[in-house]
Amino acid sequence: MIKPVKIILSTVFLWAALTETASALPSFARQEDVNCFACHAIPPKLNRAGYEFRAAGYREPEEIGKPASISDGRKRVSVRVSETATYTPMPIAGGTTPEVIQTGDTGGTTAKFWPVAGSFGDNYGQRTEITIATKPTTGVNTATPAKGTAVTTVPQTAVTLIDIRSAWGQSDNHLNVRAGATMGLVSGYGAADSSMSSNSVGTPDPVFLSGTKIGSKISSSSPGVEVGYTFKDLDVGLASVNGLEYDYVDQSLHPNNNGYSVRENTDPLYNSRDTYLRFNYFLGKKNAIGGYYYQGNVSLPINATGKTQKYALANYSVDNFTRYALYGTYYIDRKTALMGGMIQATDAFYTNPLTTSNNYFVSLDFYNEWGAYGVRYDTGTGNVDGNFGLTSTDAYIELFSKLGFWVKADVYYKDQQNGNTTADLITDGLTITATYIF
Amino acid sequence: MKFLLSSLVLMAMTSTAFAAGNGKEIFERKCAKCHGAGGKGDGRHSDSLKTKPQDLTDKNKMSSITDEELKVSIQKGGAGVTKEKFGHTISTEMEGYPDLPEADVGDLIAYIRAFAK
Repeated sequence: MIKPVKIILSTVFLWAALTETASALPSFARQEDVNCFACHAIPPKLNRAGYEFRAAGYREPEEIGKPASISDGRKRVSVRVSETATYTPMPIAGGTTPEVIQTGDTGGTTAKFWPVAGSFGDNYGQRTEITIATKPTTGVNTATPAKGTAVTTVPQTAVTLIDIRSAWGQSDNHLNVRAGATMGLVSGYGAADSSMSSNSVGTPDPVFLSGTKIGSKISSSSPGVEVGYTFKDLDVGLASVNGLEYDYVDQSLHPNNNGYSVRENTDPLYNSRDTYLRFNYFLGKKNAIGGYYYQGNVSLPINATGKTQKYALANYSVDNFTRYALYGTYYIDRKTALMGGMIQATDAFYTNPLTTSNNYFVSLDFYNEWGAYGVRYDTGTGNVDGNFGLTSTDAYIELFSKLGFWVKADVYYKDQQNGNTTADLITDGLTITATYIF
Repeated sequence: MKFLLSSLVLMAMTSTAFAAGNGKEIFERKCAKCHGAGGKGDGRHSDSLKTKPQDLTDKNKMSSITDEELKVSIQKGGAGVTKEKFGHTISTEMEGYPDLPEADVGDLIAYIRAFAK
């Protein structure tokens, strides 16, 4: 029987051996003949060069208007396989009994595949992402009050991103147009690539209550169009996003509701649109400030469970919301980045007055040739009826190897109030993710 | 006579370029993003990297780097420059180009050397 110490030592040895050997690079890096870290502070967090590469349509800004060859298709294919395990102390209902440890809540193995990603033609670039999961993941209704209701199922295989970009003009003065399906919405430089919790209508993933996973992160991905403009250090964009999303259950298109749920024809927000305006301004070569205004809406179907549905409309919980965010990144030196940001969230549940919450975060990241290390602190006021006030502390270690393997350990403590049920939603624990990318 | 002299002057002026062969084109395509078109280590990716790229115009530093080390760093990247072999290391962010033909590597070294002349 192999002792745990031997396993650990073998792992460390293997890791050291891998880091000494040479390269396997994802397709964008191969396209440009550069190291991944030429564009990423910590993958996938972008640095300035990466941000500009993306804005220019997945090409170097100097290459705008010049023909891009995709003759070597082998270089343009990327694959990522990851496995995640979460170890979480869970509160018992009511929050009065001791926490218990739930171990090994594995997310299963997920593979992502990007065929022929990168620039093409004189002005275009694309990134299509296909996700294959070993087991389906259940989306969960996070709306008040019918939490815990499964509303849809994420499929085992799906096209999870289509992002087509074009850029027209010069390297430091160009118009860029972006269109796609299930496109990431507010994506920016530095701090903006770290999601900022507002927690007004959703909760960070995962959240457990009485042993049941009740929370899913509200993600923002829908079909839409964005028009942007880059002038020297300033980059701005305006987007309109529709909700049409492919429903894997009935194999048809439904409007998306900014999360894992799928809108039905009876949804009061069927075919509604979200709008956002964003900006990013570089201060010097590495530092930046950014911000966005987002106006959107979310509706979550409710399965009646006998609870009072005071926010419900025709079996849907509806929220029209706005988000204002301001964030910044400051590099203390070449390897140390300080980030901070705030977001103000205003929500108008259908029969409820406006509620506003403010949330803040600060983080410190350090990178070296072995990996990245950091801490982050979030705090925020609650929203609906005082729910969802969140304070969290997060520390991580992420190690890379040049063969494309990396592992991330993320320790976090989160304290979240749920005034609706008088229970605390406490999600502290450890998440370990192992990834291989080619 | 004038034609002959002009030709000799022209050849002398362009001798570096001739010696470097494909070096300039390869350098601009693969190296200039980090090292800068003028070799000063100020390419557009230079500030993003955790280690500042080598200033190839630094005569003192470049005179201490052998052609063998340049060749290894071009072909294997920073990971190939080990303390055991060269007495020091360089950043592993430096990418290697193992598929680059031997002749092109020679041209590239010649072109790089010209920065510090």
